[in-house]
Amino acid sequence: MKRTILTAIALLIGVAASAQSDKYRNSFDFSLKNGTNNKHEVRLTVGSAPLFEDDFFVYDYFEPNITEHHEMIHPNDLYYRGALKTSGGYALSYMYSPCRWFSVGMYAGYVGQWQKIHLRSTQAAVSTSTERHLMFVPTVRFTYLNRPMVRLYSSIGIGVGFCRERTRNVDGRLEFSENSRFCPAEVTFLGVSVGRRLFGFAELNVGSLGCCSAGIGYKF
Amino acid sequence: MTMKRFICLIVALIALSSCTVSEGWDPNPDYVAHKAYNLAINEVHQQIHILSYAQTVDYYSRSGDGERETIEDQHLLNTRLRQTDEGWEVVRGGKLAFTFIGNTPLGEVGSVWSVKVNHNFYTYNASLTTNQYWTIECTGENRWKVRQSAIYESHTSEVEFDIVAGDLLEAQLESSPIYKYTVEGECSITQNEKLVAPYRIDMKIMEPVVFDNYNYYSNYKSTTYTEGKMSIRVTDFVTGEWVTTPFHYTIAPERSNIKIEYLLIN
Repeated sequence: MKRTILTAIALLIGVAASAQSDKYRNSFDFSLKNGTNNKHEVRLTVGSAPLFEDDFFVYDYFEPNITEHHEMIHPNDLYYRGALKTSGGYALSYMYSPCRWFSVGMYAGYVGQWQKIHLRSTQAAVSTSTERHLMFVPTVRFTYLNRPMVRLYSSIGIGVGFCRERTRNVDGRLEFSENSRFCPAEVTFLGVSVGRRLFGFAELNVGSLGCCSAGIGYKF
Repeated sequence: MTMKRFICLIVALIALSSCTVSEGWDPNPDYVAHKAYNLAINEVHQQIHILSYAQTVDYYSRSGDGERETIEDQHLLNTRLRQTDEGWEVVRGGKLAFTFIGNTPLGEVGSVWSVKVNHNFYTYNASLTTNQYWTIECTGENRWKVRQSAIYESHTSEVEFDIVAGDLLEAQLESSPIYKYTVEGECSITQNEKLVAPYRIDMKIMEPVVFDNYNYYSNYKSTTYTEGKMSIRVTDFVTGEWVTTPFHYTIAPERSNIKIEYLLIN
C-alpha cells in the first residue's frame, strides 16, 4: 500500500511539473543539433556494491561469535559461509521529462549473489546458496544544470523487489528454497551525464543498484 | 568521437568493477569444539561462583559487625545478604538471587548446604524454568562436592564437581568467584531439542581445572582458567552420531597456547 502511495505521489509530481512547463520554449530541446524535443529517455545502468535492507538491519546469516560463552551449539555452527560474490546491479530504465528540471520514470533492476557453504571439519564445500533480486523502482530526478552536452542531477526512488533464494548441495539437489519480497530504494546524490542523444553517465549513489553506477542512455 | 570513447571507457570501468567479492566467515575448524568447551567451562564457573557466595555467607554469618563491614566493602559492593529463618538470602540488583539453607558451618566435614536458585534470577543469560535446588557438601578441609541438576529454557544440566578452594582473590562477588579454585568432576549439558538442537555435551575433567582470575585482570589475552584438561564429547541424541569428533581440550594461561586434540575413532 505504501509503495502504491509513493508511486502515485511520484507520478503526481510529474503531472504538476508538466503543467508548469512552457511548451513554446526552446529550452525543451535537449538536442538543439537535431531540433527535437527529447522528452523520453532509456538508460542501461551498471552499479557496483548493491545494498539491500539486510545490509541496513540484521543480516540473516550473521556470523556467530566464538567469544560468546553462553551460546548453545546450533546445526549452523557445523558450517561456515565462504566469500560472498555479488554480480553488481544491472538496470534498464525509462524516464519521461515533462520539463527541463524534472523527470519521472522507473527502472527494472537485477542483482545476483552467490556464496558457497563449507563443512568446518573438512573445509569442503557442501552446497551453494544463490540469491537473485529483481526490482522495479519508480524514480524521480531533479536536474540542476542543464546544458546541451552536460547535465548534473540528483534522484530518488523506492519500489518493490522480489528475491529468490535457493541452496543446492554439490549434487544439485535443492536443500532450501524461499521467495520473498523486499523494498529496494535508491538515492543518487550527484549524477552527471554527458552527450546529446546518445550519452554516458556516472552517478554517486546509495541503494539497491550500488554505491556508484554508470551507463549509457539514449534520448528520443 | 572523443566523447563517445570517454563514455565507453567509463561504462566499461564500472561494468568491470561492479562484481564484488566480500570476505566469508572465519573457517575455524575448531569452532564447535571451542563452543562446547565454553559451555562446559561455564558450568564450572557457575559452581565455583555459587561456592564463593556460600563461603562468603558462611564467613559473614560468623563475623562480628566490624568484620562484616569489611567483607561488604571488599566483596559485596552491589550485593546484600539477608538473614531469614531458614538461612541467608543473597540479593543482587534488587532481585533475590539465591537462598542458602544450612545450619552447620560450611567448612565442617559432612556439612551439607542446600542452595535455592531463584528462577527469576537470570544467571549467565540462561533462564531457569523454576526454582532449582543445588547442594554443597563439605568433604574435607577447604574441599566441597557441588551437585547441580538444573532445567533452563535452552538446556538441562547435570553437574558433579569436587572443588578445592585456595587463596582469597581481590574480586567482587557480583562479577567473579573470589577464591582460587581447583575443580575435578564431570558434567553433561542436554540442549532443548525444540528451541536449539538435539545435542548433548558430556565433559569429564582429566586434569584438574584451575581458576585464577588474577591473570584475567592483569592481561586480557589470558583466560580466567590457567590449567586443566577436559575430555569432551558432543553427540546428537536423536541420531546417536557425533556432532564433532570427540576431543581433549587442554587449557593454558594464554589463549594462543590452548590445545585441541581430536581422538581417532575406529
